[in-house]
Amino acid sequence: MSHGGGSGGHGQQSAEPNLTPLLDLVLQLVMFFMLVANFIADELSDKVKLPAASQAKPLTARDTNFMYLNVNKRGEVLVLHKEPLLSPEEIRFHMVQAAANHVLKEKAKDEVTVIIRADKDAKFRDIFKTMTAIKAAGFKKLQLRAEIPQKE
Amino acid sequence: MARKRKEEPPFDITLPITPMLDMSFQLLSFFIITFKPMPIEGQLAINLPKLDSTNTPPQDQPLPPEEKKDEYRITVYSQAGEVSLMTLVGPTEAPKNEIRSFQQLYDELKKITKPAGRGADAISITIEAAPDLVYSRLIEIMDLCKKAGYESVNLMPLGKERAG
Repeated sequence: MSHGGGSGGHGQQSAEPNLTPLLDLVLQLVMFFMLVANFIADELSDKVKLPAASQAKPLTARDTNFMYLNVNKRGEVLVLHKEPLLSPEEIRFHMVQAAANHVLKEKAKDEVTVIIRADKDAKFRDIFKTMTAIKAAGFKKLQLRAEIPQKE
Repeated sequence: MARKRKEEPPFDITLPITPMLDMSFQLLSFFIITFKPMPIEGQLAINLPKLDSTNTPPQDQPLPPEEKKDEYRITVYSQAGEVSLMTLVGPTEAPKNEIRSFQQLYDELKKITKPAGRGADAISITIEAAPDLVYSRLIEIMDLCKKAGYESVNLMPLGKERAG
């Protein structure tokens, strides 16, 4: 049985592996890691170290309308591409704007759950200040985020 | 007079894929090495705080008796951000003994008598904490309340901190 060139004879047989599918696969993996890295940077600030709570429940597929608010250990509310918010008025104004820009529009304040991601070393006064500002902005649902400890 | 052009033999254009693959592998290894998986996160539901009386809208209709909840209050005092003392007070009971550990608090929460015919849903817990209490301690207390079966949890700042 002869392989290669078809010219017969004793010519060299070429055995080049087809690298194109391998390249496709690797590029897809690269894209996946790049996208995942971006998602983390967008909403879940890694500057915030969460406290642990065994009774915390992860989001389910039904929880579609939520909004994150990151609070660092100094009590500042971190907002992407903006200066940190300090006063309750600033936080309230930010939340009112966020509700106005939300796809649900008027219903946003009733339907959207605000999730506070606060640093474990933050003080209660700062968390309570943020909660009061969220309430003053008109939101109805609130949850506090924590890390679920891994069972060993 | 048209001259017949001599047909050139077809030639293969082969792109050098190997260097591209090398670069892709380097990129892939960079992302794999720097990738830090996020820990699993979850939420603790909480009731929003009441606003100051100046901002409070007129009261709605009073709740029917079957929807009223027995309110228990955990008061948390702090020293340098850490819990120094806790007390648990029921709707009708006198203040109980001082609670000094989370395990003791959990035991006290489990001892609460549920209203007849109704379970833990008929009880709401208000945590009144010192303003300088560290958030992680507050979450621990909330976690204990949820673990003891109480889903309705409110937060309140402690009006005046106890000296010492």
